[in-house]
Amino acid sequence: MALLETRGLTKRFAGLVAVSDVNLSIETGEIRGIIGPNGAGKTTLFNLISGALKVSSGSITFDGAKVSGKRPSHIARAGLVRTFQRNAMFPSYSVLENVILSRHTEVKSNFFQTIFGTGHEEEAHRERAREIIRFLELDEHENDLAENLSHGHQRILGIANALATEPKLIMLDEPVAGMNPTETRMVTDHIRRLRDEWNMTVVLVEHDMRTVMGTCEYISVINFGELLMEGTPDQVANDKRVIEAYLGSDDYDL
Amino acid sequence: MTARRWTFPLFIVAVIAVLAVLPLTSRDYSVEIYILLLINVILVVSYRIPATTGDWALSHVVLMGCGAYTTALLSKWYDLSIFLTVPLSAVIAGIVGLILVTPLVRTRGFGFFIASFALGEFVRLIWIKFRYPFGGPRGMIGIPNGEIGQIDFFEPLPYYYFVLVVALISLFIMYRIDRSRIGKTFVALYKDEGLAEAVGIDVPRYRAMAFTIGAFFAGIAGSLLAHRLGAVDPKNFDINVMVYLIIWIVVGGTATIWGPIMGLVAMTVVFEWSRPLLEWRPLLFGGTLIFFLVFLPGGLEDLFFRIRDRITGKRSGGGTV
Repeated sequence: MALLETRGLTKRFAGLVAVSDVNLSIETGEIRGIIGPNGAGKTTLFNLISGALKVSSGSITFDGAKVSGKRPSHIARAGLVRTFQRNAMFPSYSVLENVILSRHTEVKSNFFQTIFGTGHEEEAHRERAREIIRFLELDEHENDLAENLSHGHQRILGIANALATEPKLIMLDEPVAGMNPTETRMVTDHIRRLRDEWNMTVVLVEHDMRTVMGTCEYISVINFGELLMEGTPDQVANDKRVIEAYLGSDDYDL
Repeated sequence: MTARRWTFPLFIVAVIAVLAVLPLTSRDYSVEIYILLLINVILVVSYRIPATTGDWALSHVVLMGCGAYTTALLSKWYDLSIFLTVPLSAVIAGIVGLILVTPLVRTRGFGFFIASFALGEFVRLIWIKFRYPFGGPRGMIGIPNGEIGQIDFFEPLPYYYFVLVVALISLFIMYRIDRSRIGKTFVALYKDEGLAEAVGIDVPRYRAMAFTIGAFFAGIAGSLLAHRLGAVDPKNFDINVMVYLIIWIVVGGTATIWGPIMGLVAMTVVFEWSRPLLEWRPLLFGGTLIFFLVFLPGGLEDLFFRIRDRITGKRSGGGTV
Protein backbone atom coordinates (compact mmCIF):
# COMPACT_ATOMS: atom_id res chain seq x y z
CA MET A 1 0.00 0.00 0.00
CA ALA A 2 1.14 3.51 -0.80
CA LEU A 3 2.68 5.61 1.96
CA LEU A 4 0.59 8.68 1.16
CA GLU A 5 -2.70 8.45 -0.63
CA THR A 6 -5.35 11.05 -1.40
CA ARG A 7 -8.79 10.02 -2.64
CA GLY A 8 -11.07 12.56 -4.29
CA LEU A 9 -9.36 15.39 -2.47
CA THR A 10 -11.32 18.62 -2.94
CA LYS A 11 -11.08 22.11 -1.49
CA ARG A 12 -13.64 24.81 -2.12
CA PHE A 13 -13.22 28.46 -1.10
CA ALA A 14 -16.66 30.08 -1.19
CA GLY A 15 -17.53 28.99 -4.72
CA LEU A 16 -13.98 28.70 -6.05
CA VAL A 17 -12.76 25.13 -6.38
CA ALA A 18 -9.03 25.35 -5.63
CA VAL A 19 -8.38 21.62 -5.60
CA SER A 20 -10.76 19.27 -7.33
CA ASP A 21 -10.97 15.50 -6.96
CA VAL A 22 -7.23 14.85 -6.77
CA ASN A 23 -6.07 11.24 -6.42
CA LEU A 24 -2.41 10.89 -5.55
CA SER A 25 -0.54 7.80 -4.53
CA ILE A 26 3.04 8.14 -3.33
CA GLU A 27 5.13 5.06 -2.55
CA THR A 28 7.81 4.73 0.10
CA GLY A 29 11.20 5.83 -1.19
CA GLU A 30 9.89 7.99 -4.03
CA ILE A 31 11.00 11.49 -4.92
CA ARG A 32 7.76 12.85 -6.31
CA GLY A 33 7.45 16.19 -8.02
CA ILE A 34 4.25 18.19 -8.08
CA ILE A 35 4.26 20.91 -10.71
CA GLY A 36 1.78 23.21 -12.32
CA PRO A 37 1.43 26.79 -13.52
CA ASN A 38 0.93 29.63 -11.06
CA GLY A 39 -2.32 29.35 -9.18
CA ALA A 40 -2.82 25.71 -10.14
CA GLY A 41 -3.48 24.77 -6.52
CA LYS A 42 -0.15 23.19 -5.60
CA THR A 43 0.26 25.02 -2.32
CA THR A 44 -3.40 24.49 -1.43
CA LEU A 45 -2.88 20.79 -2.01
CA PHE A 46 0.14 21.00 0.30
CA ASN A 47 -1.80 22.79 3.00
CA LEU A 48 -4.56 20.19 2.78
CA ILE A 49 -2.19 17.26 3.16
CA SER A 50 -0.27 18.86 6.04
CA GLY A 51 -3.50 19.75 7.86
CA ALA A 52 -3.08 23.52 7.67
CA LEU A 53 -6.34 23.69 5.70
CA LYS A 54 -9.47 21.60 6.26
CA VAL A 55 -10.50 19.41 3.33
CA SER A 56 -13.93 20.05 1.81
CA SER A 57 -14.33 16.46 0.70
CA GLY A 58 -12.20 13.41 0.02
CA SER A 59 -9.69 11.72 2.27
CA ILE A 60 -5.96 11.56 2.96
CA THR A 61 -4.34 8.39 4.21
CA PHE A 62 -0.80 8.31 5.51
CA ASP A 63 1.01 5.17 6.56
CA GLY A 64 -2.25 3.27 6.74
CA ALA A 65 -4.08 5.80 8.92
CA LYS A 66 -6.56 8.50 7.95
CA VAL A 67 -5.00 11.92 8.63
CA SER A 68 -7.51 14.27 7.00
CA GLY A 69 -9.23 16.40 9.64
CA LYS A 70 -6.29 16.25 12.05
CA ARG A 71 -4.21 19.18 13.28
CA PRO A 72 -0.80 19.75 11.61
CA SER A 73 0.98 18.86 14.84
CA HIS A 74 -0.74 15.44 14.94
CA ILE A 75 0.13 14.80 11.31
CA ALA A 76 3.75 15.75 11.99
CA ARG A 77 3.73 13.29 14.88
CA ALA A 78 2.53 10.59 12.48
CA GLY A 79 5.67 11.19 10.38
CA LEU A 80 4.46 13.54 7.65
CA VAL A 81 6.17 16.90 7.81
CA ARG A 82 6.18 19.91 5.51
CA THR A 83 8.36 22.96 4.90
CA PHE A 84 7.14 26.42 3.97
CA GLN A 85 7.41 28.62 0.91
CA ARG A 86 8.33 31.50 3.22
CA ASN A 87 11.51 31.36 5.31
CA ALA A 88 9.94 29.85 8.41
CA MET A 89 12.16 29.65 11.49
CA PHE A 90 12.24 30.45 15.19
CA PRO A 91 13.98 33.84 15.27
CA SER A 92 16.14 34.84 18.26
CA TYR A 93 17.21 31.20 18.54
CA SER A 94 20.40 29.83 17.02
CA VAL A 95 20.41 27.27 14.21
CA LEU A 96 21.17 24.49 16.69
CA GLU A 97 18.43 25.63 19.06
CA ASN A 98 15.98 25.81 16.17
CA VAL A 99 16.61 22.18 15.29
CA ILE A 100 16.55 21.05 18.94
CA LEU A 101 13.22 22.83 19.47
CA SER A 102 11.87 21.14 16.36
CA ARG A 103 12.59 17.74 17.90
CA HIS A 104 9.42 18.22 19.90
CA THR A 105 7.76 15.04 18.64
CA GLU A 106 10.71 12.95 19.85
CA VAL A 107 10.72 14.20 23.45
CA LYS A 108 9.94 11.46 25.95
CA SER A 109 10.37 13.30 29.29
CA ASN A 110 7.29 14.28 31.24
CA PHE A 111 6.59 17.80 32.52
CA PHE A 112 8.52 17.51 35.79
CA GLN A 113 11.49 15.73 34.25
CA THR A 114 11.66 18.48 31.65
CA ILE A 115 11.61 21.45 34.01
CA PHE A 116 14.03 19.97 36.53
CA GLY A 117 16.31 18.55 33.86
CA THR A 118 16.19 14.99 35.13
CA GLY A 119 15.08 13.49 31.82
CA HIS A 120 18.69 12.99 30.59
CA GLU A 121 17.67 13.15 26.96
CA GLU A 122 18.58 16.72 25.97
CA GLU A 123 22.14 15.63 25.21
CA ALA A 124 20.87 12.98 22.77
CA HIS A 125 18.64 15.58 21.07
CA ARG A 126 21.58 17.95 20.77
CA GLU A 127 23.70 15.20 19.19
CA ARG A 128 21.00 14.28 16.70
CA ALA A 129 20.37 17.94 15.87
CA ARG A 130 24.09 18.36 15.14
CA GLU A 131 23.97 15.32 12.87
CA ILE A 132 21.09 16.82 10.88
CA ILE A 133 22.88 20.16 10.65
CA ARG A 134 26.05 18.44 9.41
CA PHE A 135 24.06 16.43 6.87
CA LEU A 136 22.72 19.67 5.38
CA GLU A 137 26.16 21.32 5.60
CA LEU A 138 24.97 24.06 7.92
CA ASP A 139 27.47 23.18 10.68
CA GLU A 140 29.49 26.33 10.06
CA HIS A 141 26.44 28.36 11.11
CA GLU A 142 25.35 26.16 14.00
CA ASN A 143 25.58 28.97 16.57
CA ASP A 144 24.38 31.82 14.37
CA LEU A 145 20.99 33.31 15.09
CA ALA A 146 18.45 32.06 12.56
CA GLU A 147 17.44 35.54 11.43
CA ASN A 148 21.07 36.42 10.61
CA LEU A 149 21.49 33.62 8.07
CA SER A 150 21.52 34.28 4.32
CA HIS A 151 18.33 33.55 2.39
CA GLY A 152 19.68 30.25 1.08
CA HIS A 153 20.76 29.07 4.51
CA GLN A 154 17.42 30.04 6.02
CA ARG A 155 15.69 27.85 3.44
CA ILE A 156 17.99 24.96 4.34
CA LEU A 157 17.31 25.59 8.04
CA GLY A 158 13.63 25.10 7.16
CA ILE A 159 14.50 21.62 5.88
CA ALA A 160 16.62 20.96 8.99
CA ASN A 161 13.71 21.87 11.25
CA ALA A 162 11.47 19.50 9.30
CA LEU A 163 14.02 16.67 9.50
CA ALA A 164 14.28 17.15 13.25
CA THR A 165 10.85 15.56 13.63
CA GLU A 166 12.26 12.28 12.19
CA PRO A 167 9.66 12.10 9.41
CA LYS A 168 8.89 9.21 7.08
CA LEU A 169 7.83 11.64 4.39
CA ILE A 170 8.94 15.22 3.90
CA MET A 171 7.03 17.66 1.70
CA LEU A 172 9.14 20.54 0.41
CA ASP A 173 7.33 23.66 -0.74
CA GLU A 174 9.53 25.32 -3.39
CA PRO A 175 12.79 24.56 -1.56
CA VAL A 176 15.00 26.36 -4.09
CA ALA A 177 12.87 29.49 -4.51
CA GLY A 178 15.08 32.56 -4.74
CA MET A 179 18.33 30.55 -4.68
CA ASN A 180 21.30 31.00 -6.97
CA PRO A 181 22.40 28.06 -9.17
CA THR A 182 25.12 26.90 -6.73
CA GLU A 183 22.70 26.85 -3.80
CA THR A 184 20.09 25.15 -5.94
CA ARG A 185 22.49 22.38 -6.88
CA MET A 186 23.39 21.94 -3.23
CA VAL A 187 19.75 21.60 -2.16
CA THR A 188 18.83 19.16 -4.93
CA ASP A 189 21.87 17.16 -3.93
CA HIS A 190 20.64 17.12 -0.31
CA ILE A 191 17.21 15.97 -1.46
CA ARG A 192 18.66 12.99 -3.29
CA ARG A 193 20.89 12.12 -0.32
CA LEU A 194 17.88 12.28 1.97
CA ARG A 195 16.26 9.50 -0.02
CA ASP A 196 19.41 7.50 -0.77
CA GLU A 197 21.11 7.71 2.62
CA TRP A 198 18.22 8.32 5.04
CA ASN A 199 15.53 6.33 3.16
CA MET A 200 13.15 9.24 3.20
CA THR A 201 10.22 9.75 0.89
CA VAL A 202 10.21 13.23 -0.62
CA VAL A 203 7.41 15.23 -2.21
CA LEU A 204 8.56 18.32 -3.99
CA VAL A 205 6.41 21.23 -5.07
CA GLU A 206 8.50 23.37 -7.34
CA HIS A 207 8.35 26.11 -9.88
CA ASP A 208 11.85 25.69 -11.17
CA MET A 209 11.48 23.15 -13.99
CA ARG A 210 15.13 22.21 -14.18
CA THR A 211 15.14 21.26 -10.51
CA VAL A 212 12.05 19.12 -10.83
CA MET A 213 13.14 17.42 -14.02
CA GLY A 214 16.59 16.71 -12.64
CA THR A 215 15.53 15.52 -9.20
CA CYS A 216 12.23 13.69 -9.43
CA GLU A 217 11.62 10.27 -10.92
CA TYR A 218 7.91 10.73 -11.19
CA ILE A 219 5.90 13.90 -11.60
CA SER A 220 2.27 14.84 -11.04
CA VAL A 221 1.06 17.84 -12.99
CA ILE A 222 -1.72 19.97 -11.52
CA ASN A 223 -3.69 22.49 -13.53
CA PHE A 224 -6.78 24.42 -12.43
CA GLY A 225 -6.88 22.35 -9.26
CA GLU A 226 -7.12 19.08 -11.15
CA LEU A 227 -4.61 16.34 -11.72
CA LEU A 228 -3.70 16.84 -15.39
CA MET A 229 -1.36 13.88 -15.83
CA GLU A 230 1.35 11.85 -14.16
CA GLY A 231 4.54 10.36 -15.58
CA THR A 232 8.30 10.36 -15.76
CA PRO A 233 10.05 13.67 -16.49
CA ASP A 234 10.40 12.68 -20.13
CA GLN A 235 6.73 11.83 -20.51
CA VAL A 236 5.74 15.06 -18.78
CA ALA A 237 8.06 17.23 -20.86
CA ASN A 238 6.66 15.81 -24.09
CA ASP A 239 3.01 15.78 -23.11
CA LYS A 240 0.84 18.03 -25.24
CA ARG A 241 -1.51 18.94 -22.40
CA VAL A 242 1.33 19.95 -20.13
CA ILE A 243 2.96 22.14 -22.75
CA GLU A 244 -0.39 23.72 -23.43
CA ALA A 245 -1.01 24.41 -19.77
CA TYR A 246 2.38 26.10 -19.44
CA LEU A 247 2.08 27.99 -22.73
CA GLY A 248 -0.90 29.78 -21.29
CA SER A 249 1.36 31.20 -18.59
CA ASP A 250 4.71 32.92 -18.51
CA ASP A 251 6.31 29.89 -16.90
CA TYR A 252 7.08 28.22 -20.20
CA ASP A 253 10.52 26.89 -19.47
CA LEU A 254 10.42 23.25 -20.48
CA MET B 1 32.61 32.47 30.51
CA THR B 2 33.84 31.36 33.94
CA ALA B 3 33.33 34.88 35.24
CA ARG B 4 29.72 34.80 34.11
CA ARG B 5 29.20 31.36 35.59
CA TRP B 6 30.08 32.74 39.02
CA THR B 7 28.49 36.18 38.87
CA PHE B 8 24.97 34.85 38.54
CA PRO B 9 24.91 32.51 41.58
CA LEU B 10 26.74 35.16 43.61
CA PHE B 11 24.16 37.72 42.58
CA ILE B 12 21.33 35.39 43.65
CA VAL B 13 22.97 34.65 47.01
CA ALA B 14 23.48 38.37 47.58
CA VAL B 15 19.85 39.16 46.79
CA ILE B 16 18.59 36.44 49.12
CA ALA B 17 20.93 37.67 51.87
CA VAL B 18 19.64 41.22 51.48
CA LEU B 19 16.04 39.99 51.49
CA ALA B 20 16.72 37.99 54.66
CA VAL B 21 18.36 40.84 56.57
CA LEU B 22 16.41 43.84 55.26
CA PRO B 23 13.20 43.44 57.33
CA LEU B 24 15.21 43.14 60.57
CA THR B 25 16.27 46.75 60.17
CA SER B 26 12.90 48.04 58.96
CA ARG B 27 9.77 49.36 60.61
CA ASP B 28 6.62 47.22 60.61
CA TYR B 29 5.06 49.40 57.93
CA SER B 30 7.98 48.75 55.59
CA VAL B 31 7.82 45.02 56.28
CA GLU B 32 4.15 45.06 55.26
CA ILE B 33 5.19 46.67 51.98
CA TYR B 34 7.91 44.05 51.44
CA ILE B 35 5.34 41.30 52.00
CA LEU B 36 3.02 42.78 49.36
CA LEU B 37 6.01 43.26 47.08
CA LEU B 38 6.98 39.59 47.34
CA ILE B 39 3.38 38.50 46.71
CA ASN B 40 3.27 40.77 43.66
CA VAL B 41 6.56 39.33 42.41
CA ILE B 42 4.93 35.90 42.27
CA LEU B 43 1.91 37.43 40.54
CA VAL B 44 3.76 39.40 37.89
CA VAL B 45 6.21 36.60 37.06
CA SER B 46 3.30 34.17 36.74
CA TYR B 47 1.60 36.62 34.36
CA ARG B 48 4.65 36.53 32.11
CA ILE B 49 4.30 32.76 31.44
CA PRO B 50 1.19 32.96 29.20
CA ALA B 51 2.48 36.32 27.91
CA THR B 52 5.51 34.53 26.39
CA THR B 53 3.12 32.59 24.15
CA GLY B 54 1.61 35.90 23.03
CA ASP B 55 -1.49 35.52 25.20
CA TRP B 56 -2.06 38.75 27.10
CA ALA B 57 -4.99 38.01 29.37
CA LEU B 58 -7.15 40.40 31.37
CA SER B 59 -8.23 37.63 33.71
CA HIS B 60 -5.01 37.09 35.62
CA VAL B 61 -5.91 38.97 38.81
CA VAL B 62 -9.24 37.12 38.84
CA LEU B 63 -7.28 33.87 38.93
CA MET B 64 -5.32 35.33 41.81
CA GLY B 65 -8.72 36.01 43.37
CA CYS B 66 -9.64 32.35 42.93
CA GLY B 67 -6.66 31.50 45.09
CA ALA B 68 -7.63 34.15 47.65
CA TYR B 69 -11.27 33.00 47.86
CA THR B 70 -10.22 29.36 48.12
CA THR B 71 -7.97 30.26 51.03
CA ALA B 72 -10.73 32.28 52.64
CA LEU B 73 -13.19 29.39 52.45
CA LEU B 74 -10.76 26.68 53.46
CA SER B 75 -9.22 28.48 56.40
CA LYS B 76 -12.43 30.05 57.72
CA TRP B 77 -14.71 27.06 57.45
CA TYR B 78 -12.39 24.10 57.66
CA ASP B 79 -9.63 25.77 59.67
CA LEU B 80 -7.00 24.22 57.42
CA SER B 81 -3.33 24.91 58.07
CA ILE B 82 -1.57 27.48 55.90
CA PHE B 83 0.56 24.61 54.58
CA LEU B 84 -2.57 23.20 53.00
CA THR B 85 -4.42 26.37 52.02
CA VAL B 86 -1.57 27.73 49.89
CA PRO B 87 -1.07 24.64 47.67
CA LEU B 88 -4.79 23.87 47.49
CA SER B 89 -5.55 27.46 46.45
CA ALA B 90 -2.93 27.12 43.72
CA VAL B 91 -4.52 23.91 42.48
CA ILE B 92 -8.04 25.42 42.46
CA ALA B 93 -6.81 28.53 40.64
CA GLY B 94 -5.03 26.26 38.15
CA ILE B 95 -8.24 24.28 37.56
CA VAL B 96 -10.26 27.49 37.06
CA GLY B 97 -7.51 28.70 34.71
CA LEU B 98 -7.75 25.49 32.70
CA ILE B 99 -11.54 25.86 32.46
CA LEU B 100 -11.24 29.50 31.31
CA VAL B 101 -8.51 28.82 28.77
CA THR B 102 -10.31 25.94 27.08
CA PRO B 103 -12.58 28.27 25.09
CA LEU B 104 -9.96 31.05 25.08
CA VAL B 105 -7.39 29.14 22.99
CA ARG B 106 -9.79 29.43 20.06
CA THR B 107 -9.03 33.16 20.05
CA ARG B 108 -5.79 35.02 19.46
CA GLY B 109 -4.45 38.52 20.04
CA PHE B 110 -7.10 41.17 20.62
CA GLY B 111 -9.88 38.59 20.65
CA PHE B 112 -8.09 36.73 23.42
CA PHE B 113 -7.57 39.97 25.33
CA ILE B 114 -11.28 40.88 25.32
CA ALA B 115 -12.60 37.33 25.78
CA SER B 116 -10.35 36.84 28.80
CA PHE B 117 -11.78 40.03 30.30
CA ALA B 118 -15.33 38.78 29.78
CA LEU B 119 -14.62 35.38 31.34
CA GLY B 120 -12.75 36.98 34.24
CA GLU B 121 -15.67 39.30 34.94
CA PHE B 122 -17.97 36.30 34.82
CA VAL B 123 -16.02 34.66 37.63
CA ARG B 124 -15.93 37.92 39.59
CA LEU B 125 -19.69 38.35 39.20
CA ILE B 126 -20.18 34.90 40.72
CA TRP B 127 -18.41 36.14 43.85
CA ILE B 128 -20.54 39.28 43.92
CA LYS B 129 -23.84 37.53 43.19
CA PHE B 130 -23.51 34.68 45.65
CA ARG B 131 -23.59 36.06 49.16
CA TYR B 132 -23.32 32.45 50.24
CA PRO B 133 -20.54 31.31 50.33
CA PHE B 134 -18.54 34.19 48.78
CA GLY B 135 -19.92 37.08 50.87
CA GLY B 136 -21.31 39.07 47.95
CA PRO B 137 -20.07 42.57 47.07
CA ARG B 138 -18.47 43.08 50.47
CA GLY B 139 -16.38 39.94 50.25
CA MET B 140 -15.26 37.96 53.27
CA ILE B 141 -13.55 39.01 56.46
CA GLY B 142 -12.04 37.25 59.44
CA ILE B 143 -9.67 35.04 57.46
CA PRO B 144 -7.04 33.62 59.85
CA ASN B 145 -3.52 34.94 59.32
CA GLY B 146 -2.18 31.44 59.70
CA GLU B 147 0.44 30.09 62.04
CA ILE B 148 3.20 27.54 62.34
CA GLY B 149 3.22 25.96 65.79
CA GLN B 150 3.63 28.85 68.23
CA ILE B 151 4.57 31.39 65.57
CA ASP B 152 1.61 33.63 64.76
CA PHE B 153 1.64 35.10 61.26
CA PHE B 154 -0.29 38.11 62.49
CA GLU B 155 3.14 39.57 63.21
CA PRO B 156 4.61 40.91 59.97
CA LEU B 157 8.14 39.62 60.47
CA PRO B 158 7.44 35.86 60.67
CA TYR B 159 4.95 36.13 57.83
CA TYR B 160 7.53 37.98 55.77
CA TYR B 161 9.90 35.03 56.06
CA PHE B 162 7.15 32.57 55.22
CA VAL B 163 6.25 34.56 52.08
CA LEU B 164 9.93 34.88 51.21
CA VAL B 165 10.37 31.09 51.25
CA VAL B 166 7.20 30.50 49.21
CA ALA B 167 8.21 33.21 46.74
CA LEU B 168 11.71 31.78 46.30
CA ILE B 169 10.34 28.28 45.68
CA SER B 170 7.75 29.62 43.21
CA LEU B 171 10.32 31.74 41.40
CA PHE B 172 12.75 28.83 41.22
CA ILE B 173 10.12 26.60 39.61
CA MET B 174 9.02 29.34 37.18
CA TYR B 175 12.68 30.01 36.34
CA ARG B 176 13.22 26.32 35.61
CA ILE B 177 10.12 26.25 33.40
CA ASP B 178 11.36 29.31 31.54
CA ARG B 179 14.79 27.79 30.91
CA SER B 180 13.48 24.34 30.01
CA ARG B 181 12.36 23.07 26.63
CA ILE B 182 8.78 23.85 27.68
CA GLY B 183 9.54 27.54 28.27
CA LYS B 184 11.41 27.77 24.98
CA THR B 185 8.50 26.06 23.23
CA PHE B 186 6.17 28.77 24.58
CA VAL B 187 8.37 31.46 23.02
CA ALA B 188 8.88 29.47 19.81
CA LEU B 189 5.16 29.00 19.16
CA TYR B 190 4.69 32.75 19.61
CA LYS B 191 7.49 33.52 17.13
CA ASP B 192 6.07 31.27 14.40
CA GLU B 193 2.82 29.48 15.09
CA GLY B 194 2.62 27.83 11.66
CA LEU B 195 6.12 26.39 11.91
CA ALA B 196 5.50 25.26 15.49
CA GLU B 197 2.46 23.25 14.40
CA ALA B 198 4.35 21.89 11.41
CA VAL B 199 7.11 20.44 13.60
CA GLY B 200 4.57 18.77 15.86
CA ILE B 201 3.99 21.33 18.62
CA ASP B 202 0.32 21.23 19.58
CA VAL B 203 -0.09 25.00 19.82
CA PRO B 204 -3.49 25.19 21.59
CA ARG B 205 -2.36 22.58 24.11
CA TYR B 206 0.83 24.48 24.91
CA ARG B 207 -1.00 27.81 25.19
CA ALA B 208 -3.44 26.17 27.60
CA MET B 209 -0.52 24.76 29.57
CA ALA B 210 1.14 28.19 29.87
CA PHE B 211 -2.13 29.77 30.99
CA THR B 212 -2.76 27.04 33.56
CA ILE B 213 0.75 27.27 35.01
CA GLY B 214 0.30 31.04 35.27
CA ALA B 215 -3.04 30.55 37.03
CA PHE B 216 -1.48 28.07 39.46
CA PHE B 217 1.16 30.57 40.65
CA ALA B 218 -1.35 33.43 40.64
CA GLY B 219 -3.35 31.25 43.03
CA ILE B 220 -0.37 31.05 45.38
CA ALA B 221 -0.08 34.85 45.32
CA GLY B 222 -3.80 35.17 46.02
CA SER B 223 -3.64 32.76 48.94
CA LEU B 224 -0.72 34.61 50.53
CA LEU B 225 -2.59 37.90 50.06
CA ALA B 226 -5.79 36.60 51.67
CA HIS B 227 -3.91 35.38 54.73
CA ARG B 228 -2.17 38.75 55.08
CA LEU B 229 -5.17 41.02 54.62
CA GLY B 230 -7.50 38.75 56.59
CA ALA B 231 -10.15 39.71 54.05
CA VAL B 232 -11.05 39.27 50.40
CA ASP B 233 -13.09 41.70 48.39
CA PRO B 234 -14.16 41.33 44.75
CA LYS B 235 -12.82 44.84 44.14
CA ASN B 236 -9.31 43.59 44.96
CA PHE B 237 -9.39 41.63 41.73
CA ASP B 238 -11.05 44.01 39.30
CA ILE B 239 -9.79 45.66 36.13
CA ASN B 240 -8.06 48.50 38.03
CA VAL B 241 -5.76 46.03 39.73
CA MET B 242 -5.24 44.30 36.39
CA VAL B 243 -4.08 47.58 34.88
CA TYR B 244 -1.36 47.85 37.54
CA LEU B 245 -0.21 44.35 36.65
CA ILE B 246 0.02 45.35 33.00
CA ILE B 247 1.94 48.52 33.87
CA TRP B 248 4.48 46.51 35.86
CA ILE B 249 5.10 44.08 33.05
CA VAL B 250 5.21 46.74 30.32
CA VAL B 251 7.66 48.83 32.34
CA GLY B 252 9.82 45.79 33.06
CA GLY B 253 9.63 43.82 29.83
CA THR B 254 8.82 40.18 29.15
CA ALA B 255 11.93 38.82 27.43
CA THR B 256 13.35 37.30 30.62
CA ILE B 257 12.01 36.44 34.05
CA TRP B 258 13.86 39.49 35.46
CA GLY B 259 11.92 42.03 33.42
CA PRO B 260 8.60 41.81 35.28
CA ILE B 261 10.44 41.88 38.63
CA MET B 262 12.34 45.03 37.62
CA GLY B 263 9.11 46.67 36.49
CA LEU B 264 7.31 45.76 39.70
CA VAL B 265 10.09 47.00 41.98
CA ALA B 266 10.51 50.23 40.04
CA MET B 267 6.79 50.98 40.01
CA THR B 268 6.37 50.07 43.68
CA VAL B 269 9.07 52.61 44.54
CA VAL B 270 7.29 55.20 42.39
CA PHE B 271 3.99 54.24 44.02
CA GLU B 272 5.33 54.72 47.54
CA TRP B 273 7.11 58.00 46.72
CA SER B 274 4.00 59.39 45.11
CA ARG B 275 1.86 58.94 48.23
CA PRO B 276 1.64 62.71 48.79
CA LEU B 277 0.44 63.17 45.20
CA LEU B 278 -2.51 60.84 45.61
CA GLU B 279 -4.87 62.31 43.02
CA TRP B 280 -2.06 62.64 40.45
CA ARG B 281 -1.20 58.96 40.58
CA PRO B 282 -3.35 57.75 37.65
CA LEU B 283 -1.81 60.48 35.50
CA LEU B 284 1.69 59.56 36.63
CA PHE B 285 1.16 55.86 35.98
CA GLY B 286 -0.58 56.43 32.66
CA GLY B 287 2.26 58.70 31.60
CA THR B 288 4.82 56.08 32.59
CA LEU B 289 2.98 53.41 30.63
CA ILE B 290 2.89 55.55 27.49
CA PHE B 291 6.51 56.58 27.92
CA PHE B 292 7.64 52.95 28.04
CA LEU B 293 5.43 51.85 25.15
CA VAL B 294 6.81 54.62 22.95
CA PHE B 295 10.45 54.98 23.98
CA LEU B 296 11.37 51.68 25.66
CA PRO B 297 9.15 48.93 24.26
CA GLY B 298 11.62 46.32 25.55
CA GLY B 299 11.17 47.63 29.08
CA LEU B 300 13.69 48.21 31.84
CA GLU B 301 15.34 44.83 31.30
CA ASP B 302 16.16 45.78 27.72
CA LEU B 303 17.77 49.00 28.99
CA PHE B 304 19.61 47.05 31.68
CA PHE B 305 20.97 44.44 29.27
CA ARG B 306 22.03 47.11 26.79
CA ILE B 307 23.93 49.02 29.47
CA ARG B 308 25.50 45.81 30.79
CA ASP B 309 26.58 44.77 27.31
CA ARG B 310 28.09 48.17 26.66
CA ILE B 311 30.12 47.89 29.87
CA THR B 312 31.25 44.30 29.30
CA GLY B 313 31.69 44.92 25.56
CA LYS B 314 29.51 42.03 24.55
CA ARG B 315 27.79 41.91 21.18
CA SER B 316 24.33 40.98 22.38
CA GLY B 317 22.77 39.42 25.41
CA GLY B 318 19.61 39.04 27.39
CA GLY B 319 17.20 37.76 24.83
CA THR B 320 14.85 34.94 25.52
CA VAL B 321 17.26 32.07 25.02
